[in-house]
Amino acid sequence: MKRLLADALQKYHVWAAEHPDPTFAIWAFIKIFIILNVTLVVVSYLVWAERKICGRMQGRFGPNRVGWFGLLQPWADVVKLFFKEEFVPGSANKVLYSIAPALAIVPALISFSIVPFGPGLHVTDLNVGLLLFLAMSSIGVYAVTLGGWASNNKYALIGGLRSSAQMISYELAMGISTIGVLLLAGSLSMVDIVKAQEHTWFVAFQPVAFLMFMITAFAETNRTPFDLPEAESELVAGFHTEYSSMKFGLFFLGEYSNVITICSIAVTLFLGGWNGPWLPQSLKFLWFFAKLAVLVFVFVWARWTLPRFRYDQLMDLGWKVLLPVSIANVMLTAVVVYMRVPR
Amino acid sequence: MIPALFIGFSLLLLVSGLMVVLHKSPVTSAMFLVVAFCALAGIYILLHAEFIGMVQVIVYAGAIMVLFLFVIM
Repeated sequence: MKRLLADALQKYHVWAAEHPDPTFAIWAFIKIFIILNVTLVVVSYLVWAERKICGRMQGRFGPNRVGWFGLLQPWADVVKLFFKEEFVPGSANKVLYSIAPALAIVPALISFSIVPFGPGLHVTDLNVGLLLFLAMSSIGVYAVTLGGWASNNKYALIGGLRSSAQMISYELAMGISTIGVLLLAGSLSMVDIVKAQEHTWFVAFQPVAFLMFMITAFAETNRTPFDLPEAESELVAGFHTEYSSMKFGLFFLGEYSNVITICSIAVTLFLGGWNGPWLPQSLKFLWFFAKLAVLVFVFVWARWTLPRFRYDQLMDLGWKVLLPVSIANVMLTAVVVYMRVPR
Repeated sequence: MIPALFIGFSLLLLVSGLMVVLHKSPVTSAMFLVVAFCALAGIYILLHAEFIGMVQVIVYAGAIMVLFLFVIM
């Protein structure tokens, strides 16, 4: 048995050496398959966790009927969404209306390819990793904008326009707040950034940037206190007013996978990624998931605690506070790094 | 593999560039321009200019085209 296995391994190595391209493609496909499935399961349980925590905060129990502690609730939700009627408004732009939900979830899932979950546990180590994340978060704006425009509904359109204005304003501050980390790590690759934090997490050097990043993360994912695009008390449901069935489901999944993506990027950039004491090298990914859970809890906690901003307050905060402060932070970091580098 | 990817991205770039000019609806034209920018970024990455490729997506596809859409809508 052992010899048979060793033989097969030997044959595989010979074949892999002769065909580098297919080998690469097969391995990439396997990694993508695993991480995609883990992500989607985590996202559906994030919805469950949010409902549970929100219930507790409002003195209720939250979902507790389907399965033990309501643990099967996400599956029931998905089955329900699949069997709902697929309604398309007659005056909608059919093509863009169907593309928008896909655009909501694809960028969030692509961003996962650069997140290092543990030592060696990543799909790819791009040398422009962080830029890929920024690019994908800027592509994510189209989902909301197009979804709002294509449904041909005034509330949806207002929601879509609001969200695009909000996302452009906050994206700038988010990009600039990450530059401090880049200056300290000297690399755009996520794996190198994690390795640079082996002794001290960057949140110790960049507390302001971390705060800026988290605030803009709330705005980028359209969560309270920045959920003006879907402000249900004034805009019905905002950009997804006209969506039903699994198209709505995709918007919903997109929002939650964005939360997880942005939290994993925050963990990687500021909280040391998988670095942590005690655990052996192969179990370090548990540290990553522990930190991720804490940040995600902060997202849920803020949603059920804070009221919504007014639109002018939102713009004021973005352009007059976050942007100048993050630029000042970058300049300060640059000066300190310049002074400390021996020449 | 790289020549095949290059031909794929170039064809995508050409077709979407033509559609920008030929399509009747301005919003659809703008979306085809986004596709064209992304295909161009793909070609940059094939030429090992990863930074320019990513900046192409961030600045052109992400920021400028959203402003375009904002005006067209």
